[in-house]
Amino acid sequence: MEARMKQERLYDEDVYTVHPEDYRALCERLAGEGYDFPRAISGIDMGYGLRVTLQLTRMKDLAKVTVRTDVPYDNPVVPSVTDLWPGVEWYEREAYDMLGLRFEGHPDLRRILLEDEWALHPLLKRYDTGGYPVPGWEPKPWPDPEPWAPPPPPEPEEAGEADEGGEAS
Amino acid sequence: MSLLQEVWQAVKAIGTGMATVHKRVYEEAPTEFYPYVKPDLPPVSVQSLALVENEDGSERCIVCLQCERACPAQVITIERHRNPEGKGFLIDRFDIDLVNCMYCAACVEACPVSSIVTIQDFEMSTYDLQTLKADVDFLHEQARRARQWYSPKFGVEVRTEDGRIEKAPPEMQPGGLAEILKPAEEVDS
Amino acid sequence: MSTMSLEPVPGRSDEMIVNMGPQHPATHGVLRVVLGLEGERITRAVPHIGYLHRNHEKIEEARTYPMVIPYTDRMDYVSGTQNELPFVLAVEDMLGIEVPDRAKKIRTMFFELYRLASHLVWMGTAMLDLGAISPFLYTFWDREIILGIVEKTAGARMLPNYYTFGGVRRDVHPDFFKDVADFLDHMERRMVDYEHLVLESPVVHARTIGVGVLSKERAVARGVSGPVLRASGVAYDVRKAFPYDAYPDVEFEIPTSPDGDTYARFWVRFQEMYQSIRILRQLVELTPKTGPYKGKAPARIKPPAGERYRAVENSRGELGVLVVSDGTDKPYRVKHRGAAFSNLQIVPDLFEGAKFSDAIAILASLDPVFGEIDR
Repeated sequence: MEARMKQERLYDEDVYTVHPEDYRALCERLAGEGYDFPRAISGIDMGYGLRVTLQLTRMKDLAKVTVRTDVPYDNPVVPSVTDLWPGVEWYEREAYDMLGLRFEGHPDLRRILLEDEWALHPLLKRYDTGGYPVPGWEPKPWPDPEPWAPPPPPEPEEAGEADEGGEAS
Repeated sequence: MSLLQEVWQAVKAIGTGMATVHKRVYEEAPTEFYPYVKPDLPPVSVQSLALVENEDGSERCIVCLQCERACPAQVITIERHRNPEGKGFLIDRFDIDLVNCMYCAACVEACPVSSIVTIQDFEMSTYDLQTLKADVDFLHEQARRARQWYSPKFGVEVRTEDGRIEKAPPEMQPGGLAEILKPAEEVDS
Repeated sequence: MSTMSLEPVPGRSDEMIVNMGPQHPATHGVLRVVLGLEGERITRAVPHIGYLHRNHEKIEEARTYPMVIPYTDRMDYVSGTQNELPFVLAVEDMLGIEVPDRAKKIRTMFFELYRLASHLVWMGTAMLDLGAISPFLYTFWDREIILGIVEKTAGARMLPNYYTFGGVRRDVHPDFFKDVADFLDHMERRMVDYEHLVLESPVVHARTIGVGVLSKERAVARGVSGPVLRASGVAYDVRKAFPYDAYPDVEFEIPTSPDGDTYARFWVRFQEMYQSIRILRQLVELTPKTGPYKGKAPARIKPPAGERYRAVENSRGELGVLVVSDGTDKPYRVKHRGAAFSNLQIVPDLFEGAKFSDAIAILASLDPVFGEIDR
């Protein structure tokens, strides 16, 4: 699991980017760590696939955390976390409605804002604001390295800095 | 709670309610008698848009397309051509779809010469929405009818009895116009 | 939005399926709730939303950053400038724009004025749902004064488009501080009347105490925020937890109630109005009468690639926005976290087991605004 997760600090939040298979396990870990207040689930069309961004707050000490995972267009399946935080139920339905993300294990995955019979998922970048296909839209290739690849080990130049520090002291 | 207490509670509640309502009877009512008495709108109030001409009837607009670019609802359509004699551009077409306009005044903010302005005339109800697809003549007419208008660059301007355009006195101006009003004060002193 | 109704449960012929809304006056807009009723008691409740859907998020992806601000106004239409702030704060963070101290204080004054206006609308409509008509007339009378003050400065009453990157669009009207001080004097007198009419009324007590109890754990897990969460005993307020604008400079308290019932939600909103008056009183004194109202912002707003989530405490709870930028002058994605959207999720929890007439009181205490829920 360590290899398929990237952790970084963005403003005042801890951001985890994980492989979709490890998403559920990480969420269970965070629920165990006391992150109890679900802020939102956002679906984002990244151009190469769909991104799920789950944002949580811990009420005890107001720590904030963001969990991201990317799934390909042809199989946008993400495990649902409604049993851990019931408050994301409508946000998962909204992400399904707007982007076609399918949350496995969601109790009632229907469209929420649009009609049941609506034909397309409007927030996908392949449609314009009128709902027509954008001419010439092509999915981008899957990023390499993958989004959850941890940053490369420190370069020798950092070691040089450390040496300088050592000299100064 | 005994019956006596309940009765007392009810009587007390009715009494308090009546007393509160009674107090209001002697207060000045906020109701406006609109068709007979026109509301007194502040000069910055955004009710409609107009295109101001200069005093001599020439066009103030320099057709720079800034308002078209700034419009969030994208209701402004401008076409222009180069002035054959002299500099600048001339208007071919200046349309604002006042039906879809959301009166955010972003165009007024963007205008470098304060040609497009906000006016207080809100009585635009109509049976035919096509009449609100304003063209350049409609917008000029709006400005000719208006007594005063507002733009962030020039502040509130008024049309005098003899048709001249002047800056409104300071008491009519909204905040943030100290720098605009300064030259007038210097002339006075 | 869904055309779905409830399927009858086999063997329960006494259950009646009733559609409440979307045009029911007590739903505060266009909410449709399909209710299963057993006599007067609600057995099942399924809310359907989306009747006011305009897909702001898609429109905002096709607009440049300054153009998005008027669109955010149109979400929660009874609390005006409060909607603009999270987006403005997020973009300011990404670009590192400095906001002058005076501009922050002016923003906070408008924010609190709109909180008062929003709570006044809530009080009027909630009492209308409980059957009292005069409070509605009085609260709208007072709200009119607030909207008048805002119009004098911003040019519009409900959708002012007043905040901008780095401050506010124009300086306040010269009379602004005097108007606000006068209004606060007026409001303090009126609050005494409202306490008599609402909080001390035995009819309100009978309709609300012990009705629709929401436990602390359930409220947090459901993502509920704002007065509804604080009425369940959680002292979470974004103004204190993640302070923004001029809130670190003023003193105020977070009123909480341990009860979690409908009356507690009424009570917490009342105390919030007192706190708003207190904050405004301090800001009238603290804000310099003249000075800069806008910081230096670039002519073309082009945040570097990245994302930022910012939240504010609006009248209904944590109103957040996630702005994703790809380095162009248009946002790549704008995701709004609606406070009323999250709060409305507890409707099935609170409705099931309640009486039908109590459902109206419970819904009034949640204070939904459908411009923000349906976006």
